[in-house]
Amino acid sequence: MKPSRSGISPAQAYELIRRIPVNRSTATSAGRVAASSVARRLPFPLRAPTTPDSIEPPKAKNTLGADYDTEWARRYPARVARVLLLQGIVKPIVAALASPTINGLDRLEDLDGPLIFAANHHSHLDTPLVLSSIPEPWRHHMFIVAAADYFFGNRVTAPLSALVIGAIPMERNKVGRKSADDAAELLDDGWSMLIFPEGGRSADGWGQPFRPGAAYLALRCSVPVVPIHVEGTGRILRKGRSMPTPSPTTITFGRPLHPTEGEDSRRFGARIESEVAALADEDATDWYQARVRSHAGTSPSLQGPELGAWRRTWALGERGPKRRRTGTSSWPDLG
Amino acid sequence: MDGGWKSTATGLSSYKSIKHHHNVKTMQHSKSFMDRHASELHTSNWRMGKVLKDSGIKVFQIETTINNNVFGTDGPMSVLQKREWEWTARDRVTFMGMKAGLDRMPPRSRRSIFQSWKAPHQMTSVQAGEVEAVHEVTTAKVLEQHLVPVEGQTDILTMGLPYICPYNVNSIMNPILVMCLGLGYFFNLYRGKPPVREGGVLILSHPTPWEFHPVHHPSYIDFFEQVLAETTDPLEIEAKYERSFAEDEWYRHLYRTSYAYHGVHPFYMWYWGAHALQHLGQVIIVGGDVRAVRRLGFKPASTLQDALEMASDTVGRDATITHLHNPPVLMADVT
Repeated sequence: MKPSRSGISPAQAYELIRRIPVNRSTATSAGRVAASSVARRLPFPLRAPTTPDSIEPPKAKNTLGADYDTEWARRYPARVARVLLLQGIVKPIVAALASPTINGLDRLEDLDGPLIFAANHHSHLDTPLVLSSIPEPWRHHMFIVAAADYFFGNRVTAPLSALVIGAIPMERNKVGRKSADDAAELLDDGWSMLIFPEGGRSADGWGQPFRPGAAYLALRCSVPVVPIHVEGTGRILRKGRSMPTPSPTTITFGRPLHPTEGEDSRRFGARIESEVAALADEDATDWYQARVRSHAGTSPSLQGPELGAWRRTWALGERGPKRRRTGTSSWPDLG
Repeated sequence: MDGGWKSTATGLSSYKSIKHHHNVKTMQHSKSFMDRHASELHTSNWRMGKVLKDSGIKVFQIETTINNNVFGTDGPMSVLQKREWEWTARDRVTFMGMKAGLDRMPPRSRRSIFQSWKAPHQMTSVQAGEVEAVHEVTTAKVLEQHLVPVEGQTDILTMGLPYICPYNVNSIMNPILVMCLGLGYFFNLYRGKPPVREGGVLILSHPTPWEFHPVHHPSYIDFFEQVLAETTDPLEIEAKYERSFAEDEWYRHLYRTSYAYHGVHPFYMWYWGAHALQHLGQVIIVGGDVRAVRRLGFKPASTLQDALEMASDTVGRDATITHLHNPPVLMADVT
């Protein structure tokens, strides 16, 4: 490497800078020590209290995760703010990114009262997209069940999730009664619910098995479940990506499902999953073929074929409506 | 402390009857008023109760107990009820804001805010039936809630006094009531032996304003101006001044036709602290009106540090200190 006029190469200069005792990490730790020293010298209550030696320190009360209280987000001022955010900011952004085509709204026409909307889940865009596609009177009287560990993990995302999308936390790593009780209480109060029964975004583009939470709440609160299939959001912002790429999407609403006599939450959950699969088939083919296959129980599974990873990826490309490539021509110019 | 035969023998009786137990000798032998079996006051009332019972009077007693939830567990005032070492950042900000606001308010507004606070008390038990049987259960319920085990006596006992006592509801906490609340009520909140040793120091924190409610406490004004200016010795006060105040026609008139306490009431308030006055070596009030505190016969101090320095003259420099925290009100079970 060519040495500079000072007689050292850029690599040597970098190494020298790296060895200087004052770098970013030492400055940060020194700053932290100084700040804590200043904080310690402040009188109470300007600084945090100390616990007397004879007292067992109290356990800090967890106010995040599944314990985050979202009641404030359903008070009138928060609801007004949510309507303004959803209509004024979220919906235009979603329209620009996802150009949604909404099918099946006629299937909701005769419905009244609270509903549980259960959709498949590919992307973070699913929530704003479905939320802005659900018609009134449900859209602005809706709460969303969101993963407690992801959306309510810190003091920034927790209030934002509660305010912007009206989320309530749901524990997905362990069994907790509180989340289900909170959701049931809201359903009983006339709120509708949006839930992604897969429990998380798809890792490879194919769906995951539906968990029985939506079915359990539907049975417990006697509320019908509306299956929804979302197609195309994986192309815009799939799991692992941070920058969205605009692409058209399709949202298909299904007919509301009611639990039948003696049906438990596991069976009802499986029926919801197969209905979403039928909606996916309807989106890929047409209504008649999808109904025929659904009736025969041969709708293509949302979870894809049980094959090797590359075959699953290959099969993924063969799903969905075939669209002509747009943009520059791929045909050779024969003159 | 209240209830049992005290409801009838004191509550329904005139001066002629209660003067036989509401006197300095009885108070000095009551250790404490909160422990019925160690209270001469209660022994006297129970003797009177036996006379009532033997005479054929049938009493159907109804007693209730409430919890000690004064400021609630959430809301703006809840910080006042928490242990300081459990204060969160939000609690500290609330406290500092509240203090800054109250410091800038005139006393009348401060009183108005606190007196208008409706404590979220809840009933914990109701007992009804024969007087003594009912009172046994009531006392057990109260002790179950209030008793806090304390090991050994201390040299210096510190406590903050609240803004309210039984005799200044919607009224002014005058210096005599401050003495009664500190030395009569809070000092006596013990079972077994006092939390502070004989000859120890009691440090109270209270503004102790030289201020009286002319309608509610007319005899207090004269007691403070005339009697305490001469002496603070309960025995001397009782012998020289009690009768003239108790039988004063003007005080009787105000008591019967206005909203005034009885003419003898300030004397009883003073006697209420007779046991503490006899037991303690020194009483210091932090932050009180200097002239008013001196009139009470106590020492004024500007800060707790000054008070502890003054206390060291009485108990030495290696003194132990115990703080009686309130709210909530508790009863020290000293062993």
